[in-house]
Amino acid sequence: MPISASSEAPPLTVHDLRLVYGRGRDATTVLDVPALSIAAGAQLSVSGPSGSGKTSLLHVLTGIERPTTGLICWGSVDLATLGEGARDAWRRRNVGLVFQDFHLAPQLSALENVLLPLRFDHWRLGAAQRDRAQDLLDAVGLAEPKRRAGVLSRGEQQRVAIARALIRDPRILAADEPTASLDAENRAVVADLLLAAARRSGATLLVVTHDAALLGRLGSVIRIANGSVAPVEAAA
Amino acid sequence: MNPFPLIGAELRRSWPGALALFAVMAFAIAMGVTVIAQERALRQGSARAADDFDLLIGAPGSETQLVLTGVYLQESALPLMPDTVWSELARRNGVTWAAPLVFGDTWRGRPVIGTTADFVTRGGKRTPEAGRLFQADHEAVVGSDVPLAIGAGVVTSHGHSRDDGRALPGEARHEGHELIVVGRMPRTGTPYDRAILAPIEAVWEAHGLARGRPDRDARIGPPWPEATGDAPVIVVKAASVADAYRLRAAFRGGRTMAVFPAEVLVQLYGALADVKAVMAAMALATQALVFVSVLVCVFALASARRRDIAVLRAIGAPRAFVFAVVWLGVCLLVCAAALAGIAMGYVATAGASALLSERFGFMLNARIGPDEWAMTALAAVLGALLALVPAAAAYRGSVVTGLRGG
Repeated sequence: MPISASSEAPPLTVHDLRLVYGRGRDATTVLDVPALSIAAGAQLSVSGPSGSGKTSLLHVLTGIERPTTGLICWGSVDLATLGEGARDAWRRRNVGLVFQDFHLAPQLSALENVLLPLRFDHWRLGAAQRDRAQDLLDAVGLAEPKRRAGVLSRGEQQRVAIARALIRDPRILAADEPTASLDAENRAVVADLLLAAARRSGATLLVVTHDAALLGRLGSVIRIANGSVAPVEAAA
Repeated sequence: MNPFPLIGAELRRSWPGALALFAVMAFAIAMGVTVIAQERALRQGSARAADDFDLLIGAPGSETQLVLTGVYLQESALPLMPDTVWSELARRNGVTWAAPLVFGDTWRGRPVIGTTADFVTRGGKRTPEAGRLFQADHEAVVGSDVPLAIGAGVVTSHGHSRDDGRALPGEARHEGHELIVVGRMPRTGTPYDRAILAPIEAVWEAHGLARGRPDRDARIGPPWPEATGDAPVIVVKAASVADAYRLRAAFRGGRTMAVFPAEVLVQLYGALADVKAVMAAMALATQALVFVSVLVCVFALASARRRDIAVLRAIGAPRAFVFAVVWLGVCLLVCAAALAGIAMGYVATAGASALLSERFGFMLNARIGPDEWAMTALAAVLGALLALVPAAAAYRGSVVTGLRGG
């Protein structure tokens, strides 16, 4: 598994995507996306009221959840046709994820948290991999990589989470409300870090957020209401 | 993949629970180990103590009591045999050596046994570790655990005496029949290590019984030309197995009974095995209960961690990795508990063996044998198999639900 610079991000094409929970009369349409197209390396946000399906859209686009019908093509890969194991493997190779509540392993050091995704397919990690993790922590401005994640401040934890998302050089960087549980100062820092990381690697950046400052800095906005997304074409 | 850093972190994170699970599992395994090891130590120790006693001849009565008194020096009033039994035995072929034993006297709580040089040396096979054998009827040799120096004088008492040496009311001290310690026997790991061995003539004389020779003849030991006192037990070492069976047949029925201690022990072990079976079943039931509780705890823990597991999956962990984190975590705990259980079981067995050695007089060797290892391995394998259930549940859980809940 290469950990050096990744190849170019694939473009995304979505057609007739529907995510429906339940069956028959109890069926609820959670997502309805007739068409969505995102150019490689685009930076865009997903915005809408709570419960409108923002997170579901992110889950479907990153292969965490499989749509009921439709087409989700990242380059030549149609996530809608892949089984769970194949989607996990695809996500491992292509996606870096950042969550609202960081979700670090509190007993592991910051450095070990960053290295964790590499452990999914490596028994021993080499010096190059450790250096890379250290570089990422330096880049996000974390001074003490040996400290346990559980004792870091919230802002520091989110920086570690960003470094973890970047360790496998993802071609798609996805974040779900990455600034929602941070104070104003850290919101700005985290936004800077995500944008800079995506720009530097050429990754496509998808951010679910209702943080106005962050929204303003991203190129396009996917607006979602009641699960319905108006047709969007986002350029890089 | 390498789930171990994460497993270590999870164990550290929930260490009080993990420690409690470890402790109950280790304790349950230790119980099982102790039951098995203790029963074997008791069986082997008692069998070893009876090794030198091929055949016991006694007056009709309880065979078990004859063995308990003759081999294990348990106090009891055995019926006595007249000296004609000894004379008859002396005429028989196939006897390598034989010796009468008389009991009843003590010194500070330790048994004083009247016998012959043949018994002390097991027909010449053992020699004193210090000093020499008794050669006159005022001399004695002591077992390795008797706190008497060579040259010390001993005044024995009839019946049980107190540890301070003063006679209890109604018991007679054999004043005027002092024994001098002339030798000390090597350690045997049998109740005889606590005994004082005196010439049988000394005991007969102290009780006013005939000593087998005219008074002017100071020699001791058989053959005895004249009448002697009675004896409750004769120990016989037969020249061959066939001789042993022939001798047993000759002295069985009528005025005497003849007993292979090994046979009596087999009966006792039968009873012991029943007790062991009950205790082993209880230990097994405890283990089963413990493992089920551990399973429930692991399940509860895994459900509490549903979100962590979902996050792992979301950031790309293969299912096998998630499975390994849960399963190997429990396996590590189980294996550590198994090893600790063996160690605790060994310590418990050693402690119990020391206490029981003191109590029974024969050596109990605390040892962990293949049965204990097998039982522990079985427990570990069962634990590992049970842990598959929560691991499979974590493996199958939905990522979306996990990310939402928790």
